[in-house]
Order: sequence, then structure tokens, then C-alpha cells
Amino acid sequence: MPLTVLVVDDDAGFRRVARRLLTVRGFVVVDDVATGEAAFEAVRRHRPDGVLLDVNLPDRDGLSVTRALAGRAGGPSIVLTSMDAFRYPEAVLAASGARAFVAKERLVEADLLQLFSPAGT
Amino acid sequence: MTSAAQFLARILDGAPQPVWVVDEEGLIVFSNPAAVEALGYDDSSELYRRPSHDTVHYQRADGSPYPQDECPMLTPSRTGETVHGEDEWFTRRDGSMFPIAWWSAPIAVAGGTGAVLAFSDISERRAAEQAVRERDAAEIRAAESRAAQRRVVENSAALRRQVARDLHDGAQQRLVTVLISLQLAREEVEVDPVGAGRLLDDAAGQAQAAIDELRELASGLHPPVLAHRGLVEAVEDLAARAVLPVVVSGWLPRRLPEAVETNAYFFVAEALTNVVKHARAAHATVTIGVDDRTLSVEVRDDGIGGAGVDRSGSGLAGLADRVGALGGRMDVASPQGRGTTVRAEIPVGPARG
Repeated sequence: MPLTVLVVDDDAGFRRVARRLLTVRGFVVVDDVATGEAAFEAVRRHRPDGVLLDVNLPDRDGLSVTRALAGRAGGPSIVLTSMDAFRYPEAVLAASGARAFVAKERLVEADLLQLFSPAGT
Repeated sequence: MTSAAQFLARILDGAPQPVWVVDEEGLIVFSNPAAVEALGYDDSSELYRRPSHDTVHYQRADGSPYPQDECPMLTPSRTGETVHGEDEWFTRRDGSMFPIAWWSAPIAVAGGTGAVLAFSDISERRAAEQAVRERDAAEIRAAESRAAQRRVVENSAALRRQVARDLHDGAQQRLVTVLISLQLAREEVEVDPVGAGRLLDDAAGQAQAAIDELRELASGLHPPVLAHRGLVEAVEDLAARAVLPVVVSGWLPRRLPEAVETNAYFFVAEALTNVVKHARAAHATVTIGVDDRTLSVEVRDDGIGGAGVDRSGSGLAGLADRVGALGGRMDVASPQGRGTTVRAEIPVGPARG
């Protein structure tokens, strides 16, 4: 059964191309939204297996969204992404509950299947 | 004289404080050596029984005549009250004048009540006060100049931040999307050429959007037309793109230094932005001219007027800073209800060659 993924990014061009990438990789993209608030709503509605989340959202920063979403048991696998070169320190990433950070220009070569699979599989 | 009287006499003789006594008619009946010297005479006999006002106090500081009935210094002999002041001027024997601080008290003389006067030359004190005023004025000017420079630096830092944000959110975002599209197209080109083709179309669209944004950004920083064709053509370009009709007149016989043309261009750009934002005008004109030493740029609109440099948000302070940074000056005429004219005059060197 294909894994379901939610895309969260405030740029429409990126949402479109991310949707294409995830579809090609075999995921079902349940929705793409532009803000943290919309992300909470979409996760509540669709219960996706994974979330591809931009760290620079207009209403909240990606880390705080991650902490809110990953906190619940059975929550989605969250992969943070960004245009910017810097990455969060490992400790910060781990503490937030995110699965990984992948820069946007590395998404095509990343092993998204492994990253979005439930932990332990 | 008794020894007490002799002692008093010695006090007056030796004291560095000018003192004299006039009788009930205003004639000088005593003057001590300090008074004689202060007034540029050699001996008290030159002053004895001369009318004090007509001898040393007959003109004001600007040389105009000083009628005796307007003089406050002799009133004690009439009123019996002590008086004091700091704004009178005495004239020396050689005609030169000096400012004095003075005290005048009534004193009994043979014929009635006269006045005993003590006065001091306060030229040095006046000069010191003037120096303090000038130093304070210079400090205020220096503080204003520093504040203007700080605003220029802060504005340019704010502009850089804005440019960085525009680049990040705009063109960089577009290019990242182009990259991902190309990477995906590369993967799919053999197994799904049609799909790959759609990705490539998408990438082309994003690339074009990035190019347009970068062009716009560069134009905001330094428009190519300004570099290639000069100030007047760049301003005509601005005028053509403005939302209200703008007529540009004037011409430049030569290219001016780059900093001058750039600042003049942005002066016009910001002035026109102000017109659009605040003036509610129907038309605007821009006039450009240069003579041997000054570039003049004037932006005039037919709007509501009433603009002031101190009114925050009017945008005029930024214009003034920009012009001031080049050593120029800006004038604003903005009568209420009758339009606004902002005029910049920027020094340029004389034509070379």
C-alpha cells in the first residue's frame, strides 16, 4: 500500500514540482498546503504517513510545526527541507522529532522511501 | 584729609574697578584712574566737569545717536533708586566703543543728588558668550550631519536586506524549482518522454520568471538604461512607467559623474513615488539642467501640497539626506492645495576637456 505524504511549502512552484517528485517515487500526495496552520488541519484530516515540510513558513517556523506534529504517537515522519544551505545541528533536529533534513536541491537524489517509511521498517 | 578719608581715596585710586561720580546736572565730578584708563584718557582732568552722557554715552553700538533722556544710567539722581544693567556701550576718547556692565546709585553732591557709577568693560565676556553660541551651533550642525549620515547608512542596509529577501524568495526559489524539474526530467526522459517534456516546459517557465525577477531587481539597484544612456533617458523611462502622466524636460550636454547621475535618478524615482503615494496629483513634471557647477533636478506635481520635511512618512527627509550626502541642497515648496515642487541642486565639477 503506497505511503501517503503531505507537502507544506509557501511557494506554489515548489509544491507542484515536489508533488511530481513524490508521485514518481511512488507516494500518494494527499494534499499540498502553504502554511503551518493549514498543515495542522491537513494532518488532522488525512493522517498522512509523511510530511515534507519547508522550514521557512510565513506563519510559523518549521521546527515548531515539527514539534507539534511529531509529538503525538503514530504521528507522521517529518522530513524538513529548505532552499538555504545551513542545516540544523543534529541535536536540534533529533529533539524536534523530525526524521531528517534534506536540502531542496538534494531531494531528487535522496532516498525518500526510506525517510518517509514508519520508523523501524 | 583724615587718614580714614585718605584710605578711602587710596582704595578708589588703586581699585581696578572703574568708578565715577556725576552731579545733579550729569557733569563728571570725580573719576578714578581705572575709569580714566578704561575710557582711553590720560588724566581725570580731561573728564572733569564734562557731561558724562555726551562725552562717553552719546551713541548706541551701531553708531546711531543716543538721546540723554533715554539713558537709564543717570536716573538715580532723580529717582533715588539704584539701577544696574548690561547692555550699554561707552565710547572711548579715540572713538572706539566697548560694551559695559554697570551699577548706578544715588549720591549726595554739593548741588543735590548725583549718581555714583561703577562700570566694567565686558568685551571679553561677550566674546566668550559668542564663542559658546557658535560652538553650540557647530555642535548642533555636526550632530545633524551625523544623524543624516546614519540615516543614509541605515537606508542602504535596509535596501540590502530587502534585495537579499527578494533574491531569496524570488529568483532563488525559481531556480531551485528549475533544478528539481530538470533532475526529474533527466530521470524520466527515456521511460516517459512526454512526462519529461512537461517537466521541461515547467522548468522553462520557472527560468523565465527568475530572469524577469532578476531584471527587475537589478533595475531597482541600478537600471541599465542609466548606465548606458544617461540620466535624462533613464528619467524618461521612469516617467513612461509611472502611473500618472509625467513630462520630462531639459537635457544634459555631457555625462556627469556616476554617483551624481545615480543619486539624481533615485531622487526622481523616490520623488515620483511620493507624488503617487501622497500628492493625489493629476500630472507631474521633471526638469533637468546643468550649468558649470550645478546639476538641478526639479519634480513638480499639481496635487494637494502641504508636504513638509519634518512630517514623518512624507518621504521628503530621505530625499534631503540623499541630496545632502552629495553636498547638494534641496528646496521644497508645497503650499496647501497648490501642488508640490521639490528641487535638488547638486554640485558637479566643471566640464572637463
